[in-house]
Amino acid sequence: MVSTLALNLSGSLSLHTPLALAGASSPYLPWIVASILIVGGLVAFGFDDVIRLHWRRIWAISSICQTESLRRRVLWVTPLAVIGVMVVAQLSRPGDPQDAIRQTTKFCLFASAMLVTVTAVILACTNLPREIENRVIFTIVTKPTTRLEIVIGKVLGFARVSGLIILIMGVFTLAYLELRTRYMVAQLRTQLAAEPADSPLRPMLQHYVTAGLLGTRSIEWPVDVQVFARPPQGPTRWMAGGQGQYFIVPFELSPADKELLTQAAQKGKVFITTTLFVEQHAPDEEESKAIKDMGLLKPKSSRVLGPALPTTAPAGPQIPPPEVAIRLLDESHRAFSGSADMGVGQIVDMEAPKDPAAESSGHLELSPELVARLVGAGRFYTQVNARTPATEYGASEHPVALYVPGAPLIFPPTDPSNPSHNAAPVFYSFPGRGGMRLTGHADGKGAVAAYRFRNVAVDTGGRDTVSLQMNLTIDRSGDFDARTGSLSEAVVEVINRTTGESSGPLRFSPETSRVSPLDVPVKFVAGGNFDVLLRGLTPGQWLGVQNESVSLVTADRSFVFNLAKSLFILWLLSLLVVIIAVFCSTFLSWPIAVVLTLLILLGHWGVDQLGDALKPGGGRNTALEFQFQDVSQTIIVSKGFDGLASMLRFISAFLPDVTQFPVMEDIERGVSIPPQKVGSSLGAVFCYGLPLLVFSYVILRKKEVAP
Amino acid sequence: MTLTVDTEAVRIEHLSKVYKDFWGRDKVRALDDLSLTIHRGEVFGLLGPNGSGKSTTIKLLLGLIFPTAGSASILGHPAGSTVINERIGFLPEESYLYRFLTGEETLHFYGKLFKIPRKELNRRVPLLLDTVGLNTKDRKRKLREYSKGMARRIGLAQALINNPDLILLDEPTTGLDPIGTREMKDLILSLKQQGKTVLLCSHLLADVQDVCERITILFRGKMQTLGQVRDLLEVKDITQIQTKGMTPAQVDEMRQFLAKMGVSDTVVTHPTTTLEDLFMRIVRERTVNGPATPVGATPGNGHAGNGKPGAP
Ligand SMILES: Nc1ncnc2c1ncn2[C@@H]1O[C@H](COP(=O)(O)OP(=O)(O)O)[C@@H](O)[C@H]1O
Ligand SMILES: [Mg+2]
Repeated sequence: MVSTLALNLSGSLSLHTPLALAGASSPYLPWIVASILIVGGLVAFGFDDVIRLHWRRIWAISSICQTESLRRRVLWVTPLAVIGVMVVAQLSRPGDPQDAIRQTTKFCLFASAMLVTVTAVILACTNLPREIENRVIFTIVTKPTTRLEIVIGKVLGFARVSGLIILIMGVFTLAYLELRTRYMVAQLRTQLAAEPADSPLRPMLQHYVTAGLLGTRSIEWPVDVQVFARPPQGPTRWMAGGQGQYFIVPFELSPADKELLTQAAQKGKVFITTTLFVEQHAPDEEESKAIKDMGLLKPKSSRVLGPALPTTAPAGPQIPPPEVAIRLLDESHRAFSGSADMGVGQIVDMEAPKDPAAESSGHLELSPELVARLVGAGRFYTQVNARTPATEYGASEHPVALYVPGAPLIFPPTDPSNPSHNAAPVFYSFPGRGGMRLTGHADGKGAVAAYRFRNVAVDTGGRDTVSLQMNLTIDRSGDFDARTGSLSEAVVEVINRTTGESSGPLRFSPETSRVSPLDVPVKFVAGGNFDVLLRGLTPGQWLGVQNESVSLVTADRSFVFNLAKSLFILWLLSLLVVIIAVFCSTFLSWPIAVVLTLLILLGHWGVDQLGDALKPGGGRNTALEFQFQDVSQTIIVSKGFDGLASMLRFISAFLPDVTQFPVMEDIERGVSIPPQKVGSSLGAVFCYGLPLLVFSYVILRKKEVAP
Repeated sequence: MTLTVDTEAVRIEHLSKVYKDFWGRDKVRALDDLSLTIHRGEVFGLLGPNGSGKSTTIKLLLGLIFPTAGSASILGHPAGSTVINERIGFLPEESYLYRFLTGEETLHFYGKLFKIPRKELNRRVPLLLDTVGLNTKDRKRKLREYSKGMARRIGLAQALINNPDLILLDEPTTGLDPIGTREMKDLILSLKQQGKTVLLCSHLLADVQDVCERITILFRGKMQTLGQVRDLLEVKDITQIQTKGMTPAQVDEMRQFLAKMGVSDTVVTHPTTTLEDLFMRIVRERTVNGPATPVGATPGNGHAGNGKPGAP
């Protein structure tokens, strides 16, 4: 549960910097470092060579690389790849025509990417060592060619070869997709003609026949999503008990706070205090069952931990006293030890207020050890889980505080200018298969996922509706009878935050991992600041919601242009690959150069994949798995693992991130590739490629080229 | 004649090269404290058996490898600087060229490295290919199909593409047939006539003897001797008289005359021609359509005087 929670949160809380040299690195740091390396390397080692640089020599050398590749029939790999793509595309059995085309697009791009990368690695890694080995280099370096020109010429030459391969694959992709689309649309047209007038398939068929299958759109994503019990309105946000809903509040202790807490922990007491509105209603059948299962109606002293025993309590709707469960989390969202003894946290009773309209409060006493850990961390999170079914908890601005008797409450600091210092509670629900769970309710009173869209540029192109794309996962809870097989239903409400207008409920039928388009009149999104409220209507079902589950189509774009962008990103990737390969081949024999090139290329990605295992503290978990008798052994393994992990993380911070070259992800979904992604690819080439190019030059300059 | 040339083409001072192994330990001392000067306009021979350090010397001069000690300068610039490569031509031991290019493409490629304009290249390349004796059909073939001699010829052509002032030839005649060898020697002589400096490395003594004015002999990386070929080869205490059409009687008379003068150890023989001369004569007589015209027959043609900027 801890790790899934951390994963769930990481999207909104962790910051990713391409070159995470220091905790507080600016996004420009890699650019600055790269520029210094490039300029410094060139000026220090080869100022005359920079002055002598001549495009004609560079072009001549690159042409040789290209001629060589062509005459060695490298391009013959493209027909092979083309045949492979066609076979795979024919064999795959996609769900619908749109999927078929998108899958084919993906196959084509994947084949192109593989082809280009592998060819680039092999060609560029073997070239220089071979020329030195067979001494052709003798006749090149004894001409007025500088080694800088040699390096640039080689890189350019192989980039030209990659470009050619990409061009051929691109033309093939386009032609093949165009042909397949035409054929399929023709088929769909006959199907549409044959379909009865009231067929539920008609709208979809009609849509494909008119819009084609290669549609490409610009998409905007929401800023964030939170799950509430009621639509957000006014200053209070609500969460429902018994449905896995919770909120999290970040704390940051000032030095004065730390001192106060340390002293209080030694002499007196320290509490976490939560202040919430509590509203309870008569439980329905399901809630009663949950209450019974949790054993909430029995006196607390008689409850045992673990699975509840069957009770003999009288049946009938009875409302248990409201409880929350509180847990304290460190920066990587792991519970502090001593804080999570009961799974979701320590159970805290909410005391009923004297005035029914006022807030209730609950107090959790913290052990001195836990206080010491919190003071040590300085920054931590409080997670408050809504526990009691048939109960709703309302949180206003500051629902949680640290409380030392006799001293003022310590609230989390609020700094609106810094989103990571925003102490307002953030509402979640526990994750299921496809994101946070949203419980369905037939009366439309179930949990609400609220998506915030802010500063979205909407290009309506004269239309009076815009399309929201809903991409949800449907999860079925245990007692849902799958055989009834009815369609799921959900409802969306769009509220324009500029004008305050609400669209009212818009019903639709979500399907797992399928985009359901939903047309919304433009006026509800005009201005670009609006909220989308989503609820499930099918009882016994959970909808899995993520930030990516809802998006807004802002404009229609051309597929050809999108393909061109994708291929350009691929070419940039191949350029980086070539540079790395040439760099490795300046000081290694070609087989080792191939291996090192692949390591450099995939290192960052690989370390990212290891993910959690390499996080600080991962060593302790690994060591515990060995179950050593001896404590010192455990410590050695733990320390060794942590050392290795931090070394890997450090190295990977210097390696290029291939995920900055998103060749497939957008185009596959029919989404127009945003210019920033092209920019990030260019950035990666600049920040890693050019310094490596300069290193290659410096190495080659210091190298005796006679074998 | 060497005394009248006052500028140096190559100056080598205490040059040493020790090849190291992977771990940086000394492996071979290929060149040991070599000092010599080559004057402008002379044909200098670097002689020595296999493995004596000739190629090492040339590689050091070209900056392909770096010296362990000592220094060298070429045409006034330190060895290995890119600037002087504009004025140098180099024919390596073997023709290390791109085997997937044709002869013509090869020359065009190297020409581009010198930034020679395309028009000028179109003019210069065929002339150069004529000079080295590659016929029109062979020029269009890929180098991988070339015989060793043809590869040698194209290698020589690429060394001359920039009309260089200094030409370094490492064993230029290996792989060449006797005609080719003769053409090569004639070419070297014609280069000399154009005032170019030639550094010729060889272990074939006949080659060196025929074209070089001064030579040095290297052995195990050390210089053994240096001087004018004529001086070095002259056997001071033997006098040779050559005449034509003497009868045996006249020879006897001559012998007696010499004995009377007190000269002993007289040897009288018929001179034999060298095998090379014989071969040349036979091939020339039998060939109705000779191969390419010998280079020496058209001095100043081809690559020469082609108006390259910076040429003397
Ligand atoms: N790259 C090298 N590594 C180690 N030894 C070398 C290398 N190149 C040449 N040598 C050695 O240096 C000596 C001189 O070689 P070289 O200059 O090629 O002789 P040559 O006079 O035949 O041209 C030889 O003993 C050779 O084995
Ligand atoms: Mg040699």
